[in-house]
Amino acid sequence: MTHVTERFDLPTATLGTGRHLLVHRFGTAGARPKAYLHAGLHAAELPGIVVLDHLLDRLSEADAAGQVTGEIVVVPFANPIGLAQQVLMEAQGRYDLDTNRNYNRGFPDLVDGVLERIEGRLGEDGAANVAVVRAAMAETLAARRDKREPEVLKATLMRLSFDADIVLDLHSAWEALLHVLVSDSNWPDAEDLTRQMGAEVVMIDRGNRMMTFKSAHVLVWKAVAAAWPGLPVPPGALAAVVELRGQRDVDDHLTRPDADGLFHFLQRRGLIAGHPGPLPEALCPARSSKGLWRLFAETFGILVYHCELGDRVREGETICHIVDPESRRRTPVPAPIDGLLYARRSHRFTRQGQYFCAIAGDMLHETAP
Amino acid sequence: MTHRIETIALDTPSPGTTRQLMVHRFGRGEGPKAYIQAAIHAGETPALLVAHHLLALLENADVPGEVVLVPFANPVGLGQRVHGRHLGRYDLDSGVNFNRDLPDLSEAVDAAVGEGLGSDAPINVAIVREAMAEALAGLRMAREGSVLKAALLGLACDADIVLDLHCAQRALLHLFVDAGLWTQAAELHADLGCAVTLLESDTGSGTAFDHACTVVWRTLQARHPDKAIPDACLAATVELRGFSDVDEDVAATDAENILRFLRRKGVVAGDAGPLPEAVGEAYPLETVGFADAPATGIVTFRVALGDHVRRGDVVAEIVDPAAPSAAAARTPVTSPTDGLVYELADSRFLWAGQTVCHVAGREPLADQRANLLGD
Repeated sequence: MTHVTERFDLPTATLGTGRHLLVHRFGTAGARPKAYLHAGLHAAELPGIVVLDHLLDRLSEADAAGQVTGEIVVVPFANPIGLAQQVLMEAQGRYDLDTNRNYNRGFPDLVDGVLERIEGRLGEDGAANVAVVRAAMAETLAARRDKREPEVLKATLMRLSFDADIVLDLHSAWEALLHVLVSDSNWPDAEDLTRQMGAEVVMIDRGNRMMTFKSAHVLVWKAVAAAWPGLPVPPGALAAVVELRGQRDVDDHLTRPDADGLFHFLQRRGLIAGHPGPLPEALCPARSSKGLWRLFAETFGILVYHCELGDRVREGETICHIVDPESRRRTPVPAPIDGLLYARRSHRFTRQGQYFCAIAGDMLHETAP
Repeated sequence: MTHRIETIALDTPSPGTTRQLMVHRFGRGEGPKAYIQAAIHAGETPALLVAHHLLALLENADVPGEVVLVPFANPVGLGQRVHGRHLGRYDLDSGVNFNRDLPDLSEAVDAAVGEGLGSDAPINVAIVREAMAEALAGLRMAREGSVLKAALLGLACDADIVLDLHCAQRALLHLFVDAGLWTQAAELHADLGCAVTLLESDTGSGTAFDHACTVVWRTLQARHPDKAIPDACLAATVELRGFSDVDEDVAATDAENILRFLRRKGVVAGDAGPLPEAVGEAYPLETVGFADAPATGIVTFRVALGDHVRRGDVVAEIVDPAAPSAAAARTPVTSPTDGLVYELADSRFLWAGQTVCHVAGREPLADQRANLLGD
């Protein structure tokens, strides 16, 4: 049995309140590959928390049978601050109420610190280069002096995850199909993940300088590779955001198969012994995030949809109306692109300018030759 | 030494978050018990500093009775920062004022022991206090704010003296106390040097902490007039001036004054000395004049704290930046009564209906508000 739990106490931001992270570890410290999984960074996005709860059962069984061959770190609820934010009976888990910052932005930007530290230290051996970069990431993280509670939380999550080969950040949209966000440097490497999880949309991006959790892991490797184009610098981490449908899709009939999917993925990647079974066929092609259309309301009113999640829409097709109860005007909202309606906010009253749904346009990702 | 520190863990509201109350206990339990808590309205910082100075005094005091001091009474509210501002008065989750809707134990206590009370006051007091503790234990509190309130009341409900330390917006030092307790509270009023004491009858405001400590006795007295039921708890809300009145010397003096009162009541050993002459007077809360803003705008004051005003005097003007002309921009705010200005609005931009000025008066007011403690 290798399973241990650790409790990381976060520095107390105020009197009489304590915060802690619970961390489960399986396998031998330092074993490879290493996977890091967490859920609920946006604290109201609950399905991932339940998925990891199921996964912990499966990992415990595998551990009891001596089948954990890599190292697996699981943080089942990554954001105790956000989980405690209830405003007038509504959970507010996306933004920190105090600092107004999105919990999934502003992760430690390690790029400059790593580039400085590895100057002159990379060579012809890709594996050795990965080790050099990881050591520089550790030093850069260790040098940080974060003070505010959400910043300390983000740095703590990075310290737990930065050296993992696989980093999975489990989210949910308000209402959505299961979709996966991966950066171009991890594609097509992540294809087995997306197929195993049954992703109905796969979006390939270039990383976000606003430093989402995923980007904080991805952009370092991209920056190092770009700075030393002549040297082998493979991405040290496969980092992906798995959007586990909508926030209310927590029921076991959905979340248990998702946990099975993660388990099989970890098997396939050599962290757990045993055969994962055949890899399911892809349900969709990989799309470019450039084809992602987020729709913002041009007027206020009540959203009345004429199509459901998963519907294919044609450019110009009216996907919904916005009903203004005062003027009684119904404003049609045309689809801006051919694609798949894959995510909506669950709110049906929109203010002018608010985001309310997203269409995955049929713009495919082109893998560099 | 008799100083002990306890930590009370409150029920965890969500994974990864814990809440604790810190409790200082002093004394040998051979005399009256005083319970003192600071800042149940978590942003009322003067209370925190006075509690700190009181702690220093108690550490060097002989306490034959008992003092329970909660130096910060509201960890929930202390954790509420929104858009960079600390919001400590209302529970963000429920919207409920942290100092309202405390458990009213009257019905449960009366049902349990009301008929069994007799003619021996000390025995009745013991019976009722035990029943209060049992009633509290029987409450099924689930929400965090309610759990906190029950925990605090549990520390206070068997005390002879309860001081709930608060502050107002900009204010003179003042007290709120049940009108029937004035005879007892007059010493507190004098020892603290209060400018005003406001006597509560029916506040129309829900159960504040001081009321939760006294209402059981009031209810039992009313329902069982033939039984010996004393006013066993002197509970007062102490308003330590305004939000910004956080000053070491002032807080040290306030703490010394509280300690002198505790000596006078035999909680703490030592000579309290002669009772200071009262600097202010007591007024019925229902005759306080609330001068409310008639319009939305910038408030410019025409009076200062401590001023005596007459009914109709202009206490402030509201300047409306949206007025079409400068002359039309100003709306006077007048005092609804004769009396003493003891509290002024802290914010200088007010919305119509917000209170500009509190005047302690004595005349009945025709259109007095129902909710005398405010939201």
